Amino acid sequence: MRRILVGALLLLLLTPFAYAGQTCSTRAPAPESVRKGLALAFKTRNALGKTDARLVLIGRVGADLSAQGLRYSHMGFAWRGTLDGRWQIMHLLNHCGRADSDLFDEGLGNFFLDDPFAYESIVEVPSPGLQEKLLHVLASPEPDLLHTASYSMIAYPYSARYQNSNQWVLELIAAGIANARGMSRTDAQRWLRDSGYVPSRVRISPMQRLGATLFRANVRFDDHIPEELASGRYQIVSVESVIDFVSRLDPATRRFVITLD
Amino acid sequence: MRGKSVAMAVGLMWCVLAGPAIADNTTGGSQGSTDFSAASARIVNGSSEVLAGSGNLVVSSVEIAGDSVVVVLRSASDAAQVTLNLSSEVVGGASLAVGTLIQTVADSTGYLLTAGSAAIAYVPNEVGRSLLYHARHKERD
Repeated sequence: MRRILVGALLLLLLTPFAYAGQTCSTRAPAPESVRKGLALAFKTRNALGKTDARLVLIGRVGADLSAQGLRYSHMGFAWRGTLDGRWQIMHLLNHCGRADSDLFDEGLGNFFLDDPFAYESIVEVPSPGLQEKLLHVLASPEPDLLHTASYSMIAYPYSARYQNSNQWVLELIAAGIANARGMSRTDAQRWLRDSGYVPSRVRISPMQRLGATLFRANVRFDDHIPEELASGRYQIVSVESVIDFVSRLDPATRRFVITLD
Repeated sequence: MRGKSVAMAVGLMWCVLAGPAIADNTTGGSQGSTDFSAASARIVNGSSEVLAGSGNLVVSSVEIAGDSVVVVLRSASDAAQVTLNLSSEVVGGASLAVGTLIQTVADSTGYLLTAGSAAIAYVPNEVGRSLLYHARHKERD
């Protein structure tokens, strides 16, 4: 029994190091991942082509979040170029193995080539009026003004200390709907709270929190309120919470899901 | 006491397994995107018909040129050749050498080239090229 305990303790000490720096892979993607990712991008592009949309919100299943009651992990804006008609995505990405992020413009293909958990995309088509507002925001300095490079996967929705990818999308939507220029992140968050935005809640055990604090640069807890730290239930900006919010404020919004099946 | 120790060991094992899982399973999926645009192959000599015409190709020469690798592929069924400029980062893990068998799979967006289980390149057709783009967002004034 003593051997089991020692072995378990050694694993406890050593295993987290095996994860350090391996938050994502920089290796070449596997052939099947590439084939499926591009196939999904092609199918998504064709589905978008059947709409008259110029801008949509698009989400992917980057990880298995079923234990938290969530399906989609990451979202961005997809917009159709006025000159060449190509769909392009603007989104926030956490640099591999680091605690910071940048904004990227990418093709639909790149969006699905990050070895997702499932080959599925969700597309939210806002009303033409909201599309217009969001296109205007994306073409302005606001995407950068509302971006905080310090990244946390579980960033608290009402703090400007860190930001996750879905939070950046949500705060830009706030600037678009509120039709406000020069809005700070704090202003956007206040507007979201006043407008009825409801974050998702995820459960993180004390031991999970300890492991993440020690060994994961891109998971931070010090922006969360004491009640959440005590209860282990943390509010975050999820894809689902953004979609629900937009659907409520913009009832003409349409939604469809694309899979490879 | 023995039962308590077993429970402790199981508890510790659970902590080991559950602890790190939080980062990947809570809100994951926003990490740095693979710059597949850079990993795409470029035909520098020959025609994509060589890729379309045969499922199997053989590496007839490999030459490193800076960050790229220039690979000449010969059709296994005839003498047709195509020269590709590949990303050395992608090829590096695939142990490409003269005589290596390369399989090509055609789909609606291009040709996927694999050596064993490793994708060494994706040669996009016109549709594929329209789906691949990667750049840091430029701040607007």
